Amino acid sequence: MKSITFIKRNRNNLVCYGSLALVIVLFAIITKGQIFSAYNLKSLAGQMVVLMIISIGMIFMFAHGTVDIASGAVAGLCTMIITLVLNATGNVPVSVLAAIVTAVALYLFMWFVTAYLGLMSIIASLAVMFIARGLVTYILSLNDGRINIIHYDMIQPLKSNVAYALIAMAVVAVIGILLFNYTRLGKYCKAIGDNPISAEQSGARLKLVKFWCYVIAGCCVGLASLFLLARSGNVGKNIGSGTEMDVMVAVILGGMNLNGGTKSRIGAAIAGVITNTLLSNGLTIAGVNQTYITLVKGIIFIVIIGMTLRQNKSVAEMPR
Amino acid sequence: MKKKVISVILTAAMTGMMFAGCGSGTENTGNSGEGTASEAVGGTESTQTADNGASSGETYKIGIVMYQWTDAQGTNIQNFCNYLEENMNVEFEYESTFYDDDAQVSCVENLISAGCKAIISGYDTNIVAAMSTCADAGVYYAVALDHITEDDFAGADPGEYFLGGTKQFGGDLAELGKEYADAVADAGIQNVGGISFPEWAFTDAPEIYASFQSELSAQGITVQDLTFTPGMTSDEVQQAAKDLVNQNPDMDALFGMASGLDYVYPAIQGSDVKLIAMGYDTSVASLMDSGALLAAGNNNHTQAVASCVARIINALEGNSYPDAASGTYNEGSIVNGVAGYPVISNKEDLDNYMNYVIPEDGAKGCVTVDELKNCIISYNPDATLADLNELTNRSLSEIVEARQ
Repeated sequence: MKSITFIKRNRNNLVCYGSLALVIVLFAIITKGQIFSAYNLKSLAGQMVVLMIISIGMIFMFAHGTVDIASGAVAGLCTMIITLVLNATGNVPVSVLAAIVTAVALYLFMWFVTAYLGLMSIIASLAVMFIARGLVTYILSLNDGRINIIHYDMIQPLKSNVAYALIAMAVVAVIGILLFNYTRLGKYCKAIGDNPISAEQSGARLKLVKFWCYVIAGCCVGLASLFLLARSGNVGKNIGSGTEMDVMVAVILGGMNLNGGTKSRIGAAIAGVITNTLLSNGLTIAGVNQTYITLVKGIIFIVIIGMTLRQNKSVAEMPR
Repeated sequence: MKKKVISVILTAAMTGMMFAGCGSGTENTGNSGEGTASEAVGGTESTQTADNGASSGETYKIGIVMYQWTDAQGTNIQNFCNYLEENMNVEFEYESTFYDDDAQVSCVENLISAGCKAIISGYDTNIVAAMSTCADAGVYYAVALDHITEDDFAGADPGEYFLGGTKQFGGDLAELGKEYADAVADAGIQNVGGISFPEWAFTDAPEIYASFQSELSAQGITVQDLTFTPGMTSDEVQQAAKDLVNQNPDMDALFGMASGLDYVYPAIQGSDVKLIAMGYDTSVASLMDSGALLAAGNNNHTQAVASCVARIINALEGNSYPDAASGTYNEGSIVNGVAGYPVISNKEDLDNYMNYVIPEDGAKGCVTVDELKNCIISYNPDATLADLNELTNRSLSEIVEARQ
């Protein structure tokens, strides 16, 4: 009886991590263990790092009910900022700082538009997406469509040495978990996602909580852009494109409800990103025909979503 | 509380799993490239190793990354690869990404994990990062749909695992412009315009158009200056094409160098302006029948892939062409192959293109296994890069002659 209660209480966690375990076992069998080769595990870590860092930041946005579709474009613009500053100064920390400041500024612009002008968050993020993408395209058009990194050797280790990716993911994940689960900010963030009026009446200062959520998201996007640039090797017009959708797919695969609320978990980003990356990687290694890969991914996506996001009517939720 | 404990334990397990991959930088899936390191791409050595795939029967797994696999280009390449798999000691693994540099590296990594010993990429973008990924794993890398210069590596050394690119348009831009001009002159057109993607995106466009313009002007035909679109999207191309047509009411044909059939044609559909297209798809036959299309053309993807496969097999077997350093299409120290660009200007050309350039049965196509083997050193010790370039740069008429 106790175990049934335990399963009921932890259904989302169990299904989320169970799905991940299932994907791991499935591909381990299909690929005859090839996914566990040292090379592939290193590749997986490299493929996850950008998505993982951004997804953890996005959890703070999704948790309080904000939908952000600008992360890819902002990350793309930040890679350009890093490249330009790095080419001019040869200083990696300064260039990363410039990228983070840029990302935070754009995210705070979204916050301002949402909080003070009353526009929907998705409209604000759409505007920022166009601004960021437009800037990248314009600056690239002045540079023959591509900007190379003069000092690529300074950031290439971030791609070739997987330890940097692992450390970055671990540090961001730990900070994310601490902020989200053990601070007032995280708790208010989830409360706002469930019911902003109740949250405000309980002492949450809506604008201030959201302000810090946007700052965290901006920091994550700015940092992730460094790894994105290290992997891309230069800045082209499509850099970062599609990342926002990958983030959404990943966190949904991890069991995150994009409406936010108390069920939001940082674990959704971690498990979701691993599952999403494993899907692409495992299907290729398994030799699945490219024509069918999208279809297979879609079916697996639906199955996992069906298990994780199905509404549990027995769980009472706060009125919205 | 239990929920938190579960989360922490499972997160720790995942992190542990990821750290398991943190091994030495030289490990890979077994594609260490043993016996191949002596290959100097730009060198003049031609040494034959004992472990020769042609004689040992070892199957070489080659990965290919393209934009997509469901379009005419993807289908054509897969048909040719299937033909090679059935008749040579090669096996192909496919990946796709649409101009996404980060995803391109992921595709390369996945193919290496899948056991590929060499990778053919359709892209020249992100070459430094993709190349370093391959070099770290001891995997060869060749570019099929663009030629590569030393500038593409921004001063870095491409290294021994880079096998070069592939010069498109038959390596002769002026000749291509002339072929298109001939198609227009034959159709009795008097006033032609041209539209291309931005110059930074299609650097060969001005040279092709200059030849086209010069050829037609000499015949008394009015040719407008080339118009560049402001961007790469379908909307931007269509708007620029409409503006060009509106500003030149006497224009009776438009040379669509910006994805002519997909992007330019919708802008002039229904008007009296004829299309001359760079590009090919299944609509060519009906558009030519209706008179809306004067000419189309396409890179010969079979020739491009064949050129890469020959260079890859040579490298995997430790061989190098004796004339590799002096190849016609080389760029400095970079060795490039070449692929033709058939221009289709009438029904006969179209039939020949479909029968001999993009046939479902590779044995009837523009490069047969026997012809390709003749350009691989382990099958023919006298093979040269010049032989390979000649094979993969045959014109449509030369291909037809070879097959009949």
